[in-house]
Amino acid sequence: MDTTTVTFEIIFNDTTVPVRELNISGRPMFMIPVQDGKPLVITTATDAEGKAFWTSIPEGRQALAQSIGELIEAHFKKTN
Amino acid sequence: MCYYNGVRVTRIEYLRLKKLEKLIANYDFLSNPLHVGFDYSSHPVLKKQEGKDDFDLVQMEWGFIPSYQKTRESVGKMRFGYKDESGQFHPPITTLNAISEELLFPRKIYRQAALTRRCLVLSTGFYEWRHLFPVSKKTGKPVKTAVKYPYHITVKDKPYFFMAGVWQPWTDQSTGEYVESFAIITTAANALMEQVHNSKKRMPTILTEELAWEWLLGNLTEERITEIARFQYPAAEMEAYSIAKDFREALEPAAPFTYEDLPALSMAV
Repeated sequence: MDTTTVTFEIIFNDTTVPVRELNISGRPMFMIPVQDGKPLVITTATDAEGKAFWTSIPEGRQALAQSIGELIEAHFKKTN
Repeated sequence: MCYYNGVRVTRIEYLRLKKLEKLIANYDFLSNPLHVGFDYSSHPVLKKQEGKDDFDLVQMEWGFIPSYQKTRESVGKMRFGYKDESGQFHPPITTLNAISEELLFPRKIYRQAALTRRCLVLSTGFYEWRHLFPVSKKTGKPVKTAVKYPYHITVKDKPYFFMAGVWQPWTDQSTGEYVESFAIITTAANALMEQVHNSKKRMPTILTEELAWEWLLGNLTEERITEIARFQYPAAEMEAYSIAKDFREALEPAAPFTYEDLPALSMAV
């Protein structure tokens, strides 16, 4: 018996990308494989003004986190 | 105020994100799209916090290491089999799964773990092989060697679900390496799994959310442990579809694949 954690897919830059969702420490996290090494892990956080934003964990890939986060949001809006 | 990824956040939010960083750093299983039992890799598991009604998400090695094993070398021999000095082969002992009906039998390696170290194995789907014996065109009789088709099995409308497990702390006595390992509990196959895993007619013990918390956090009698371990998730709430035979090497192992010669499963479950 083998198991998997793949959950859903998004289209990013004309490519289908698998997204894995995990709840870690009570927060939904999304893991996206990237070609050049470690997978991108993103989540939503709250800025100082109380607005939600997407961020990579660890820091360093903010622009990519924001772009992919918006696609994930669109995916959930479509499926819910 | 602090900055995280260039965005101004409160100190509390900053600390939360830093905590997540630490957690993520320990999760190398996140980059693994498929967890194969026989490579004894790490897997996400929910483990009860000692003395609390709470749990942690941790990674553990799939393949229960019995306490009588003293070193990695002896664990390897147990898992893969070995020849002794006289040339006699000792076959492998698999501890990926624990049979629910025998879990609490005296002297079973899983007994103490079932009493005191139960866990939940996080999954979004699993794989099993369906064995068919088609009629040979040459002989007109069913072939003797089964043709095997892999299936991906999920729980309807649940992006992830819980399998009952038992875990064990273990230390290699020659190197000091500390490992937590686990086995997934199995039960008799339900009407759907009887068709898919038709060679053994077993399935993992998948738990409803209510039973999952009871299994993980409850103070259970032996009778109740066995009762939950033997729970059979309803067939009508599960789905199974065939996938490519080379799914282990595929980028998307759970992608559906149709075989012309494969009879459909009966959905009257």
